[in-house]
Amino acid sequence: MSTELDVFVGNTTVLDEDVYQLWLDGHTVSDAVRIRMEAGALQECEANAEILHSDTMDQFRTFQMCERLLQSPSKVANQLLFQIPPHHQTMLIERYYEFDSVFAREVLGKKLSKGTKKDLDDISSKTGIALKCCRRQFDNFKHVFKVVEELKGPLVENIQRHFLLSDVLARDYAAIVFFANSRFETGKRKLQYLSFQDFAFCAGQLISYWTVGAVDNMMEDLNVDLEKEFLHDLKDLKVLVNDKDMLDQHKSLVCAQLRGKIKVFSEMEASFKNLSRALVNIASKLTHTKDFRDLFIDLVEKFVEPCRSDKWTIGDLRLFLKHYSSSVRMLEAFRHQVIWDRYMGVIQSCILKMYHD
Amino acid sequence: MPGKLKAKIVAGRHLPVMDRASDLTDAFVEVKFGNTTFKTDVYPKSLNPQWNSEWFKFEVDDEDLQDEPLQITVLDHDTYSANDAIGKVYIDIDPLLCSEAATVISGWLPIYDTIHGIRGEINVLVKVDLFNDLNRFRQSSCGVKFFCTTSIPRCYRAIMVHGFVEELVVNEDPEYQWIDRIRTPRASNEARQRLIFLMSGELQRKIGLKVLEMGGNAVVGYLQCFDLEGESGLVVRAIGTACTLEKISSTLLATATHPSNSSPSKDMKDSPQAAPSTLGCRSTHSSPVHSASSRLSQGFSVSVPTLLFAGMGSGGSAGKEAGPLKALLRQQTQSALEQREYPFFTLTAFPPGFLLHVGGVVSARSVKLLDRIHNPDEPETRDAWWEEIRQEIKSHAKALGCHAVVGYSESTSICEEVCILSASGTAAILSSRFMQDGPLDTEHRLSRQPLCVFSTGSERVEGDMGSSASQQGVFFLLISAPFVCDSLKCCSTHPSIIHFTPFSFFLCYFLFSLSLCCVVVCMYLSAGFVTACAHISMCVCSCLSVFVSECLSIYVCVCVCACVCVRSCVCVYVCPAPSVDYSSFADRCSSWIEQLKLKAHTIRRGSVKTTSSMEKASPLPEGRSRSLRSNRSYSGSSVAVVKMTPLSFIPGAKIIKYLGIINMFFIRETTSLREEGGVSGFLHTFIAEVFAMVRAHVAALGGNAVVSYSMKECVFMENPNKNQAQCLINVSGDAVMFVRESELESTSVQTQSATAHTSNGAEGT
Repeated sequence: MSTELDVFVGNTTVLDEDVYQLWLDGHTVSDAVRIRMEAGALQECEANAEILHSDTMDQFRTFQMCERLLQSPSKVANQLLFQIPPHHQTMLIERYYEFDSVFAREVLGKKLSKGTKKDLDDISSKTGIALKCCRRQFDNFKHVFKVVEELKGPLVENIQRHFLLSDVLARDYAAIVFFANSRFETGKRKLQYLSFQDFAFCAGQLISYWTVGAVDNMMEDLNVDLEKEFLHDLKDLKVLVNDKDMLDQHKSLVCAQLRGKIKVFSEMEASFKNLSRALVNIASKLTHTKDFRDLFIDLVEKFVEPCRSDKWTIGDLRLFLKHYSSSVRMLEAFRHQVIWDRYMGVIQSCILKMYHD
Repeated sequence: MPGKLKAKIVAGRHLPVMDRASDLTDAFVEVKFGNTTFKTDVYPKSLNPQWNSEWFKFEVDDEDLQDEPLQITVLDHDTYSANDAIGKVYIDIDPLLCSEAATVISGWLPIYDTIHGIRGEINVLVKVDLFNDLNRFRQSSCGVKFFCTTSIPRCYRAIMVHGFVEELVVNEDPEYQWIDRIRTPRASNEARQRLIFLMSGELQRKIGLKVLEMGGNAVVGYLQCFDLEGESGLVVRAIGTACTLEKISSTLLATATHPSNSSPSKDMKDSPQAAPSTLGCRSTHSSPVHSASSRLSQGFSVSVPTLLFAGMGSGGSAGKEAGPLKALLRQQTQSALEQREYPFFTLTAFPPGFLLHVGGVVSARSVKLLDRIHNPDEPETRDAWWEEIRQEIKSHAKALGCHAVVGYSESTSICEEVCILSASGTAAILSSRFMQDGPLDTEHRLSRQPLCVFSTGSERVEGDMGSSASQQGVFFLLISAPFVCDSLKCCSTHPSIIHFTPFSFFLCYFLFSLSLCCVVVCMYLSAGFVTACAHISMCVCSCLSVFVSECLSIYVCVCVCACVCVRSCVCVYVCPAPSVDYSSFADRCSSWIEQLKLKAHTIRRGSVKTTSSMEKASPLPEGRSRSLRSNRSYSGSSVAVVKMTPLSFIPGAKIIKYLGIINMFFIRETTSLREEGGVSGFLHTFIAEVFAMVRAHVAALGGNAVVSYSMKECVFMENPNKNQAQCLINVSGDAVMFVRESELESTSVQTQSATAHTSNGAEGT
């Protein structure tokens, strides 16, 4: 019995977006055929299963051949092997780099190394995403990380320029790169309720306001490292809780502003000193790598959880944070206004994003 | 020294990593023409080298210019060991030798390696300065134009049709030389590729000389074939029709190719070899060679070495006449036409009034044993074989009362030591008007011509259909090479020749109807010619007529994406199943058709989707805008779009310039068949690469489409146990530059509404 040969090659490469998605999701050919049949491909095209199978085979093969190109998307536009219409090129690239946020959530903050790659089958069984698909997403993370690691300039733009991705996707990748670089702790049980989008938002805030690149675009290094000087200066904020007068004054200012405006006023009044101490302590310890990595867990444990147990509403929290950070301006003895604003601006939005069930 | 060839190596890109340590490449380029070689400097440590070399000048005879390809080799410099080859590019200089074709070859060409496939691209510039040589005894034939198209090309006018030209060159196949035992597969493949380039160059030059002798200036319907005979040699042969063509001046062109003239129906009588490739078939191949050959050769070994068959269509009468003796007899007749040695025309479309009567299909076949050739290196034996066949065709035509054969083609099929030669055409009576010197009207209207007759060996189906459909169109249907060959291969599993004949007739008949059907499809694709359908479906067998009506429903409503569909047909590559009985073969064929439909559907579905999402970006239906605008509307794309079609025209577009013939031959071999996805994966890659190379060469000539494109698989060998496979593919076509009619009408069609476009496509103007 001789082997059967069965190919269909187009001058303009034949692509079906649905089949592409099936391929990306890591389905085998026979799975994909089944899914297409269930989706009614046969009725639509008046074809039989055999033909559907060969069509799927052809497309899967094409995608496999394209994969090499997709790994360096800038080549897709000027390669000669496949004649792909430009809008299809964009689609191919964008879809190839899209990822499942459930998967990204699992990998977030982990080192993008071989070790993590070995854990992919666990992640795969946990999330229900095919292992093949996990591998692709993981390799994409790693690949993007490797490429932008050595580039100067703003992270998001670099990703966009090198991988020709949409703005949204490039931002998500920036978050992943940022987390992988800073290695934030995200895996603790208490943090499980946070989604990838929550973290991505926080990463965006951190990148925009706290990193080297936020101050100076022309830095030599990967600009996703936080600015050392700023972290160091944060120690000066300690005065807010260490100076008893200042702490009392701060509290009375906030209480004056919030009286009658929030439902949890008494609880707030009672826990003000603890909350304020928590925020300032987090700030002052950010220079230590260990504490820095625990930023999110600290925020949850020391701030989000106490508030949640007192049943603060998100509106209450927003008001509180607003006045908490702004009333510092009225403390005459406090001289670190700029640092404070830079710190609180980010912390405030992060906490609000993280404050949900 | 009547010519100077100049080449400049500009840059490379996407080169493969040749140095594992640095992940880079130190590339340089060797440019070779004839025996002269130039080298560029080494561009160290880069995958995108910028050589920007000087102009390398080769001073050569124009004879060499025609024969030799320019050979560009990209290498990786290695200080300590031998330089590693990255790949090669062969450039056919021929299009530059004709003043009316391309003037420069410039662009990115894929660097090809027979083992690794495409490995990066190289940007080159090639020019030719020709000095006029008035030597009467010259051996070159520069300036003779070649067209694969089997009708008079669009921008030309036939002043005179001179007649049949043929030529054949033989050489030893490098694959079978003793040296092949010691050299690498790559070296052997490259020797073969180079030799074939040389041989087809030489062949073209010789044909050109014959044409000049006849007083013509062009060859239309040029059909070149390769016979890989194995031990006994490698034959490259070609046939064509010599013509004197005159370029229609641009103002004339505007009127001559007015929309009404480029009606798709006219082109339905397109080249016969286009028909099977139009099928959009799945190629389903099971290497019949192994199983079939042993028994076949047994069958033949007891029989007479020379067997001659009366072909189908000639029916019984002509069969009686057939015979080597008769074939050698020269027949002197009064008619001017018959004074010619062979009154054959490879053309399939003629000016009105030229074709007076159509007699029927004539074909002849002959089985030869290759190991009986006395002096394999000389062309004489093969010449004699073909002469026999042609004489027979001529006598068949005569038996049908005709004095000429149109749509003539020849093919071979080789199975180990057995070679089956076949020739076929449509017997016809031509008006002698073309013999006069008066210019012929290029505007030929299909509807005026009688319909073709097609007959099938024992059961003749003839004539009547002609009348019923005579208003509609002419189809000079001929079973084209790959089909016949492969069906013959299938048949050859029968131990006895007696079975062989009627069976193949039957098969041929089926194929006949199939290709007819395909033409119908094409017709719908190109414009939705509704009325013709009814007539034609009567001719095809029932299962196919069902298909036709289905097609009708599908395609008429989607004629917008016609051009896309036609393009999707181009991409096909056919080799039928081996162990067929009739019914399974029918299944197979219909499944091919299904496949095509599915593809067309997919394309349509894709296009519909994208249209809705891209409404703002492009108001045109995506199917069209994709092909016609991508060059302009997406300035970001640096690769020009090149279309391919087996038709001689591009629906909805006007061909404004013929840039020269594309005739390329590629060999691909792999020693990691499994890793590349088995035979399917291997061939998928190879075919994609061949397309890429054809596109790149056409773009380098300044063209944006290939018409009359045909792709022939010459050899496919696999050895799954050794994880190896080898494939040889020959592609040919005419590189052209076309302009959309809509663009001609107004330059600001960018915003033209979708409906306007739809109607434009539907009315088939």
